[in-house]
Order: sequence, then structure tokens, then C-alpha cells
Amino acid sequence: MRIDFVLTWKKALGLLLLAGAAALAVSLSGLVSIAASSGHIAPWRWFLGWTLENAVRTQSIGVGPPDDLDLFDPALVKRGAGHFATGCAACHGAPGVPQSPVVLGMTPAPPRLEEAIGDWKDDELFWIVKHGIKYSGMPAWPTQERDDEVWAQVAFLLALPEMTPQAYADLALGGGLADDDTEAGGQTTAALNGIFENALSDCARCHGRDGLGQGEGAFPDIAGQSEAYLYATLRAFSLGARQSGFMQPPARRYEPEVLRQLARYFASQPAAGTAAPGAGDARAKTAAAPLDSARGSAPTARRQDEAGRLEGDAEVATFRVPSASAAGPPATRKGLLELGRRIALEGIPSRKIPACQSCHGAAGRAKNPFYPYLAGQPEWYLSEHLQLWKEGTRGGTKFAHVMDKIAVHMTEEQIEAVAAWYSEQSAKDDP
Amino acid sequence: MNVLHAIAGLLLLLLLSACTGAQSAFDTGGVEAERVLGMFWIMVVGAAVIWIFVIGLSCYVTRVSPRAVDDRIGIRLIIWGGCVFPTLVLAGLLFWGLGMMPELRRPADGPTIAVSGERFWWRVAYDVEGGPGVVRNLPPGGVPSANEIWLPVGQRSTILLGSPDVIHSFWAPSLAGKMDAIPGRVNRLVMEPTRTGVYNGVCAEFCGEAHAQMGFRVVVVSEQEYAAYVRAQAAPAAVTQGPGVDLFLRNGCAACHSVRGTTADGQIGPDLTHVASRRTIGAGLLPTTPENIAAFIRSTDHVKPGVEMPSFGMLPEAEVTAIAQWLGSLE
Repeated sequence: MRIDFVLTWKKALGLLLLAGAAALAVSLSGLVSIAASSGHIAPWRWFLGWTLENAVRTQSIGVGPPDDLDLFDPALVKRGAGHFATGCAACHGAPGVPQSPVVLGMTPAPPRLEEAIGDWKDDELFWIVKHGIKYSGMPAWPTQERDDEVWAQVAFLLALPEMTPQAYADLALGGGLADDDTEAGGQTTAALNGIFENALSDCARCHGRDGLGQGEGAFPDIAGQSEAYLYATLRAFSLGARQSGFMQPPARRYEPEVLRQLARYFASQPAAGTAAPGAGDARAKTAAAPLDSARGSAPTARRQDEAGRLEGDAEVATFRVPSASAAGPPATRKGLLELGRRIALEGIPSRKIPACQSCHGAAGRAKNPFYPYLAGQPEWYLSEHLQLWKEGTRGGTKFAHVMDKIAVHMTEEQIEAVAAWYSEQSAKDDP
Repeated sequence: MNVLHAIAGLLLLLLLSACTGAQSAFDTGGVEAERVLGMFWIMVVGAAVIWIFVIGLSCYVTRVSPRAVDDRIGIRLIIWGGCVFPTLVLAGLLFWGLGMMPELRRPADGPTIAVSGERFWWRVAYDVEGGPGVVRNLPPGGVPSANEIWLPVGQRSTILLGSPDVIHSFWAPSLAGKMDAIPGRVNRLVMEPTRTGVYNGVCAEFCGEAHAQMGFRVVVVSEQEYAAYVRAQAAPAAVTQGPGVDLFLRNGCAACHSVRGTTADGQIGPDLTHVASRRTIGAGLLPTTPENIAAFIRSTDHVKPGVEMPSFGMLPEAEVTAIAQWLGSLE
């Protein structure tokens, strides 16, 4: 038998239309298997997985951690831990935390990450955490503006396979809960006597009950910041005006009244080093210079020693700073700190950088409670946020945009310098 | 076609009316601007004569007497009319123009004023001493002001120009030619105003978003008035107590602005010690009234897009008003 068939454009178009109509008919019949209970048949399962792997491998090309990022830095691992407990463990489980039968009923079921992490490279993990995976239930990071947070989460994931339940509880649940029988799903419900207590333990998992970030520099100090600043900041997270995958979810979990109570609580906690003697200062600062006046009008012994060539009037100092920073970053830590000190106390007027202390010093803060203190904040936190401001992606309280116009004038080394200097100060001397 | 003639006449009148006023190179008030204008007219007349000759010649050979021209005449015309004549004219103009420069740049006997073009305003310091100094390469000291430059009439004043950010160009068309303000160097411009009055100036080199709103005023007064003005500018602010002062300091304005007599000593934005004595705010943008000051504070980016001062619309309305009232009283 001979089939006499000539393919013409008309017939090809007709076949296409027919195929489209057939697809519509299948959908219209309502017989497509969308039930999670039935799972995927094996070849289809393989095909979907293969597509996913290829997509992730291809689309993560060119993603790389910043040069100076150490993915095995314990502080970075710690930054991602608290979010893992509330954002990830509910589906993926965690060391010592079983997966709930509820999530195991998903198709596809979320994998145990201790076992799955090894299948992916760092860049691929970053891509998955940042962008999520369509049709799988894996959500995207709450904001697309905070790659630094996504890298922190990747650092945590890399540490996950080796993590004991005890270590996990310490990192993610604020410690002390490891002995309890952890509920499937990994939610932290330390206490349920009132929503405030619940919210407070939520904060404390990362920031500590004293608001000092558990003393490892993984989190900014929130103890002793003004109530107005803390509340406005929490509201900004909650409304999405300030971008953070870590902070937006918890800030959204609680009503404004609860946020207000939290702000009041942390505002009343003593800042680092200001607690009564013996109260257990989490982070004793050593290299401390009094920040008593915005312009540093009372030179201290330290300032004179280190200032050396810069002793003398402010104008000469002002002149030398741009030249110094124009010739590249200061070569030594000491030089960096000196540049940072000058930016913080005097600013660089010819570069349109005002003195940080004119608003963030004790005198400025006493007048406007929306300006936070910076002394003793972790170096990474200060530089990261100045970078975000420089890029124009750092929201916050209704005063946050003032920093847009300042950070845009700062060079990388000026940001590094001022972050380094503030991180070595103590809130104690800048009450 | 009477209507067309009327319209043409009206347009010409409108065009000519743009030639007078505080910002016109045709309405001169200074020696250098007069030289520039004289040069302009001579060149316009010369160019017109040459143009009429060339057009007339081409009309003659194409319309009046269209015939082949002898080769020798053609070559002579090209050599004399196309090479020798333009060379002589251009060389003559060059020597004449260069000859003017020593006179215009000869040492001044009047005051020395430092002016720094900064995105997007003009920092002014009266009576600075000595040669280039350290801050912004301009001489140190002097009486700080902004966006308004007073000059004594009949005296040769030196304007030293610098910039901390990008290239700007200082141009008061009625008084002098333009001069660039270039980061890293000091340019010198001499101004010798011949009649009193208020003149407009602009930034004449594109410098960013608010370039078109980077204007200034030049106020030419008698020598005595100039001296009195600089003395008044050197004095501390008239009002240094009150709710406006407290709010100004409380909200961090002092990080960038100075008001002498208070603790505000920021060096980034304009000195506001006598802001109300100046005719405009926002670098020639709005008349100085408390209402306009309040509008500027409230939403800088709306009043002057691209400006480097952040908006302070988040402050309560009463605070903005109080600050603006106080600044509006600083004559």
C-alpha cells in the first residue's frame, strides 16, 4: 500500500490547530491528574527533575559570592540559622526536627536538605534560594535586593550536613530547646503565654533576649536603640519599605501593637557595655574612644597618638583625606581606622560627606530619636547597609532616604573605613 | 500679505526684546562684556560683507553672465579669494583677539572672591587672602555666602573659580565672558562692572540633572555699599535662639549647613547665616520667602530635581514651617 500524502503549509497549519484543540479538549475534560496524592510516573518524574537541574545549572552561571565572603565564617552561618528555623525547616525539616507528614504529602515532597545539599554547587544553591522553583512549592527569597542575606543562607546550608541537633538548636532556636522534644516542622514555640512572649522569643533566636546579637557579631545590636527608631524600623520591614528576607517575615507576623511592645522592650535593654557591672556584657569592646562630641572637640590620648601627622587644625585634615583616599585605600588597618575616624567625626566636606556623628552621635540622637547609634555595630552590617544605600536599595524609616544622598558620595574604601571604625567603638562611650 | 508682515514684525520685536535684560550679552554692564560685544558686532558686520560678496559673485556667474571663465582668472580667484584672503582675515582676528587678553587679564585692584561651582549651586567666599589654599583648592578663609555675588562698581574684582565635583562654567553674560570651574585647578576671571544693578548668571557647562537650575545673581553696588555688605555678611546670624534654631539643629541640618552664631557648622551645603539677605534660594530658583524655603525643605527633589539635599517632608509640617520662618528672618 502506498500512502499518497503531500505535506503542504495548509496541512501543517491544520495539524497544529488540531493539536492545540486536542490539548484544550484534554484540559476541558477535567481528567488531567493534578492530584498530589498520585505523584508523578517515573519517566515524567525523571524528565521534570532533569529539566530543573539543567535550568538551575545554566541560570546560575556567572553567579559568584563577593570576593571577600567566606562561606565558612561561623558568623555568616549564624546569620542564616534563625531564618532557616521559620522559613525553611517547616518543609525541609532540620537536624533533630522531623518533616511533618503534611509536607511529605506534597508532590514533589521537599527533600531533607542535609542529604540534598551535596548535589549542588554554591552558586546553584544561591540561585535556588534567591529565585525559588516554580511549580514545586519552593518560594523565592522575600526580597530580590539582598544578595548578602541569600549568601548567609547558603553558608548555613553548607554547614547543615554536619550539624548536630544540639548545634542547630543553639544556632537557630536560641539554644536551650534541644532537650525538648522538637515538634515536627521545626517551629519554635518556646512559650505560648501571650503573643508578646512568643514574639520576643522569635526575636531572641537571633538577636538574643538582651538584643546584643548573642555576641558573635552576626547580628546588629538592637539593645538600647530608641523605641521610635526600632518601632519605625519594624514597621518598615512589615510594610516592605525596608528590604530583608530575614526581617520582613517576622515583622509581618505580628500586629503593630506587638511590634510596639517589642520596640519598647529592646529600647529598654542596656546597650553593649552599659549594663551594670557584672551584668554579663556580651561583647566587651577594647579599642574605645569617647565619642562625646560630634566634632571630637576633646581630643583623647588615643586620637593624638594615632593621628600623628594629622595633629593640627581641621582644615589641613580635611584637605588630606581626599588625597589619601584618591590614592587608593589605606594600606594598613590603622590607616583605615584613622580615615574612618575622620569621616565619622569630621566628615569630608569637599567630598560632600557630613560627619556621621552630627546625627548619629549622642547629641544628635538625643534630639531626634529616629537616628540610631552606630558604635559597636558589626563591621559587615555597617558596610553592607552603606552599600545598599549607595545602590539606592536600602529603605527604612521615614528618615532613611537622607542616607541615600550621603552614601552615594562615598567610595568603597571610605565605606570600609567608617564601618571598621564604628565597629571598634563601644556604645558605652557614646551613650 | 499684510498679516504676514505684521506677524514677522512681531516675531522680530519679540526676538529683539530678548536682547535686553539682566542676562543678556547685548545689554552690557561690564568692561569684558563690552569688549566681547564689540568683537561680536565687528565679526557680524565683516561676515555679512563677505557673505554678500560671495553670494553676489555666485549669482553673477550663474545668473547674470553665465559663461565659461578663463582658467587663469579662476585660479587667481581661488588663490587670492580662497587662500590668501581668509588666512589674512583669520590671522588678523586672532591677533586682534589675543591682543585684548592681556588688558582683560591684567592684575585687579579690587577684592578677590572665591567661587566654587558645586552640583548644583555656587559657593562664594568674599575677600579671601593669598594664593590657592587647601579647601577645594580655593583660598582659605573669606566671608562665606552662596549663589549671590556682590561686586563694587568701577573696580576690577578677581573671581577665583574651582570645583569639588565636575566641570562647571561661570557665566554672567552682561558682565563678562564665561570661565570654566574645573576640579583640581583654579581659574581666574576678572570682572569690572561699569554700572550698578542686578545681573543674572548661569552654569554654562552641563553638569548634571539640575544644571539648568544652577543660577546665581551678581549684584553691582558702590564701593561703600560693597564694603558694608561684606561686613554684614561677616557678622553672625541675626537670630540664634528660638524654636526654629532648635529644630534646625535637632534634625541634623547642621551636618551640612552652617549658621554662624549657632553650633551649626556643616561645610557641605550653602552657608545659611544670612540666607534671607539673598534674593533667591535654590541657586537662583525661587525668591527668598519663608514659604518658598518651606517648600524647598519639604520636597527638594520636586522643587529642584536632582538636587543633592534630601527632602525633609517626613518632618511634621509645623517643624518645617518653624525652620523656614527662622531662616527667612536671617537677613
